[in-house]
Parts: sequence; structure tokens; C-alpha cells
Amino acid sequence: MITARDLIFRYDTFQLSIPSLTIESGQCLALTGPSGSGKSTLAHILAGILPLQKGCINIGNTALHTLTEPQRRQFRKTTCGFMFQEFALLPWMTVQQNIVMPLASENAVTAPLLDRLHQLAQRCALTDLLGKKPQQLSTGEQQRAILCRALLHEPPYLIADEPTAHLDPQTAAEIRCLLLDECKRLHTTALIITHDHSHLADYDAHLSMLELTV
Amino acid sequence: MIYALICACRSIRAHPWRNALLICCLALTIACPLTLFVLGKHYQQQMQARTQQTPLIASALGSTIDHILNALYFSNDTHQHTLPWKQFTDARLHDHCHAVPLLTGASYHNLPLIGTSRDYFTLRQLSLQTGTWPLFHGETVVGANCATTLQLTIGDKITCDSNNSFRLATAQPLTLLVTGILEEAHSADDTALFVDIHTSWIIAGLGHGHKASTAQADPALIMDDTLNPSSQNRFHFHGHTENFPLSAILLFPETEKAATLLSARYQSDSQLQIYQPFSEITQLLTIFSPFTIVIALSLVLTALICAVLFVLIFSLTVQMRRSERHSFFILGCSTAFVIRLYATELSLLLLAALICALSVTAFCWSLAPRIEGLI
Repeated sequence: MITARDLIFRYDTFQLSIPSLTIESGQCLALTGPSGSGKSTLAHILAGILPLQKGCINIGNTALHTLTEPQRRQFRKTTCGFMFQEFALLPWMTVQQNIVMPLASENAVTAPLLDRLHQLAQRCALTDLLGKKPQQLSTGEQQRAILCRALLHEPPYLIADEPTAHLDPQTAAEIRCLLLDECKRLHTTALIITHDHSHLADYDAHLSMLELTV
Repeated sequence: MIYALICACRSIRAHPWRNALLICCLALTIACPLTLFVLGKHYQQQMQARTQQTPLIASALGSTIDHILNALYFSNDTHQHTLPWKQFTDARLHDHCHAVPLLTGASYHNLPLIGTSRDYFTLRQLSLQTGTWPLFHGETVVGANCATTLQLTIGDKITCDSNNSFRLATAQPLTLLVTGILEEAHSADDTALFVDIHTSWIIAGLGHGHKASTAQADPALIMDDTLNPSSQNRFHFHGHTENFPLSAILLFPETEKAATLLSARYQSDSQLQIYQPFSEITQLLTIFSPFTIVIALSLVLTALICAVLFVLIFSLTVQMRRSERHSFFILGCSTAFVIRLYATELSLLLLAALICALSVTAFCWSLAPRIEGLI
């Protein structure tokens, strides 16, 4: 379960204030809102990338607002999966190396993890692309690769910032289905930011930034 | 750390040409001063070792450096003043001292042909690779490189270069028999040919032989150009042998005392000078030491500029890789991991450059004797 209370984040003239946010355990929540309303900022705060200035966030048993920067990095690597608009794929690594990189830097790559990678790659239709470099992949394939990376360690929490942006409708639908299926299968609590209002019914719940913020 | 190393290797491999160019530039920056320094030291040591092997040299008056270059490195300076043979016979009488006569000036295929005695080989610790030492006049042993370059083998007959082309009345070039090839000594001896002193006088035109009598002509008018055991009796010298020329006398005193006595004996001689080649060459090298320092400083400055340029290139690369660092950050990789990765990359590049530089230096070092030959 993800809970947030009295969040305040200021940057220059921009201010984000969220009195309360709750995402139930295993729930896939779609977050919509106009551009500039602070959706991505909220995603970055929940992922521990942006430091919180005021308020408290609890993700499972972790009080994110109490963690130091290195602890938040560790939290991102082990507890929380995320998909951001920037793919963060390293051009000098193959797709497989990119997917395992966060865990490999912790020397946490094991044989079962690699098995899971291959199963996940199969489900994401990436098996033949694992040995390729990211720049050899289409945008949709790169989206699937970062989905694999986000779910490889079977995180209990997932934050996805417009995972279907810049994709054609058919590929967007494929990625969305894949994401929701995997979250259901892993019983992952997910916050998914989207602009696609026509498919909000696919998610367990829907929230607008206009409802969240003051 | 191992993962950082793996990542660094992947990152380097992703830009092979850029990194190869960087490694080459770095390697050359290190190799140039290193090779110059190593080769310079090598030649200096070579030069000093040869002079250390020869405690004293006696020669005619004139430039000691010219005489040393002629006597030790066979520079074949034919304009040198010479000593009379008598000086050698006198020097030989000194107790606790070995004297070796030396006559330069002759050549074969422009390689120095040296007239000396058998003691030369013993005192220079030269040994034969194959063949025998010259037993008769007209026989020669050749240096290892000389034999290889001119493809000489035992039993070959060689005719020494003519240095009297426009003087028809003088002796014609003498034909010599190759009886031995010396072991490589990594010195000037490798590129020289050696004959006994009498043969070198005949080559110089101080002696000659006449052909055996024939029906067609007066044998006194026909010069013999081959000196061998059967024709030896027909060769003779004109003039007094004691006045025959020597380029230098190499002196090997057995003790310090003998050396001092010998130096004192010839100190006031009006015909002859005696000196220690080591101190003369060391003195010569000290003249060049300021230039060496200037060259070394300029090389150090160049290396420093290259190092600054390398730091600039690396810092620009790090700046260009800002998005990559952001990726590492959002993926949760620690700052320490990123520092380790970049440090490992830098270390690998430096290591590769260092290995290349050392290889280049080692290669040049292995070529040092050939380069010396070219010089």
C-alpha cells in the first residue's frame, strides 16, 4: 500500500501540494491530468528521485521521507520498479545487459534471476532482441525493454510515467496490456500516469491531479 | 569492482576507434621521451663501456677525441698523424703492461680493416664464432655483423678497397683470405675486419710482393696481389720497420701503479701523447649534458601539455556523458559505482597506453644496435 500525507514540493514558481494519496495494495491506479499539473513530479517524488520538502510518504513499511539519498537509491533499486519517459538505456550495453544492470551493480545476478529474465523477455516478445543494442530497437521495443527492467526483480511497487507515450495506438495497447497483466500476475501496487482517457476502464482505479492537489 | 571493470570494458569497446586513437596518442607521448632517454642512456653506456675497457691510449699529438674515435670506434680518419712502430716496441718493454698496436685507414666495402696483433682479441675478450685466428700474413677475421652484411664465410677471398686509385705506381689492392668470423660483441668490433699489422702495412703500400718468374716478363715488374703462405717469401718491406706507422697503441696496464708510471713516462714526450679514453669521453659527454637537459625538459613539457589535453578530453567526455550518469542515478546506482566505472575506464586506457609505450620502447631498444649501425 502506498500512502502520502500533506506533500509539499516547490521548485522555482511551481508548487505541488497533495493533502492525501492512497493506493491500495495490488491496485493499479491510473493518474491523469493536464500537462504541468505535477504528475511526473509526483512520480519522481514517489520513486525517491526528488527529495520531499514537507509531508510523509509510506510505501509498504518504508517511510520514504525519512530515507537519505543513498538509501533512496537503494530503495529504487530493490523495492520499487519504475518506467520513466526517458528510457535510461545505456547505448554501450545490450538490451539484456541494460535489463540486469541495476541488479548486476549489486552483484545480485543469479541463475534464477536470469531464468526470470528470459521468461519475462519471452512474454514481452524481446527474446530475439536481448543481444541487440538499444539504438537498434524501435521505441516500442525499448518500452518493452524498460518494462522488463522494471519488473525483473518482481518489485511490490511500480511507478510508470506515461509508459505508452510516443507509441502508435496498437503498440500502446500491447504495452498497456502487458504492463497490467504483469502487475496482476505479480500482485504489484502500481501508479501509472497516462493521457489516454479512452482506456481508463482497464485500470483498477482512476485519479485526476485536479482531485489530488489543492 | 569486477562489475565496474566489466562495464568499463564494454564502454571502451563501444567506441573502438576513438579509444584506440586516444591510446595511440598517449602511448606516443609516453614512448617518445622514454625511448629517447633509454636509447640515450644505452649509447652513453656503450660508449663509456668501450672506453672503460681501454685504460690508456697512446697516439700522435693532435685531438684526443679524434684519436679515440679512430682507435676505439674505427672512424677511419685517414688524416690522423701516426706513431712510429718503434714507440710500440718501447711500450712493450714496460713491465705489467700489455700494448696492442693499431693501424686504421684501410677498408673493405667501406668497412674498417684494422691492422693489429693477436693480443687485441684476447684483451677485448673477442672469441671466434667459427674458423681460426689468422696464422699467416694475408689472412683476416671478420666481425659478426660484417660477415652477415657482406655474406662472408670461411675460405672467402676478399680484395680490400683501393685508396690509391690515381697512383698507378703504388701497390694494388691486396686479396685476403677469410679464416675466422668473430662472435657478436655489440661493439665497433662487429662491423670491422682484422688483419695482422704487417698485412695492414702491405695494404698501406709499405711492402709488396713480386710474382714468381715467368717467361713473358721480368718478375720484378709484376706485383703480386695475393698474400698467402706460399707467396709470403716474395713479399718484403721497403724502409725501416721501426718507422712504420701506427694509428694508436692501446695500453692495458695491469695495475694502477703501472698506469701512473706509464702516464708519467710519456708526459713530456714530444711525439706521443697518452690519455685515459674514459675521462676524455666523459668530459666530452658533459659538454652535451646541458643540451640533454634542455631536450629532456622540452619532452617533459610536451608530455605535460599532452597530459593536460588528455584531462581536457576526459572531462569533456564526462560532461558529454551527463545523461548516462543521470540514467545511473535514476536506476539507483551509487555515486561510488559511477566513480569506480569512470576511474576503471581511465585506468584501462592509461594501462593500455603504458603497455603500448613500453612495447615501442622495448622494440626500439631491441633495434638499438641496428640504429647504432645506421648512425
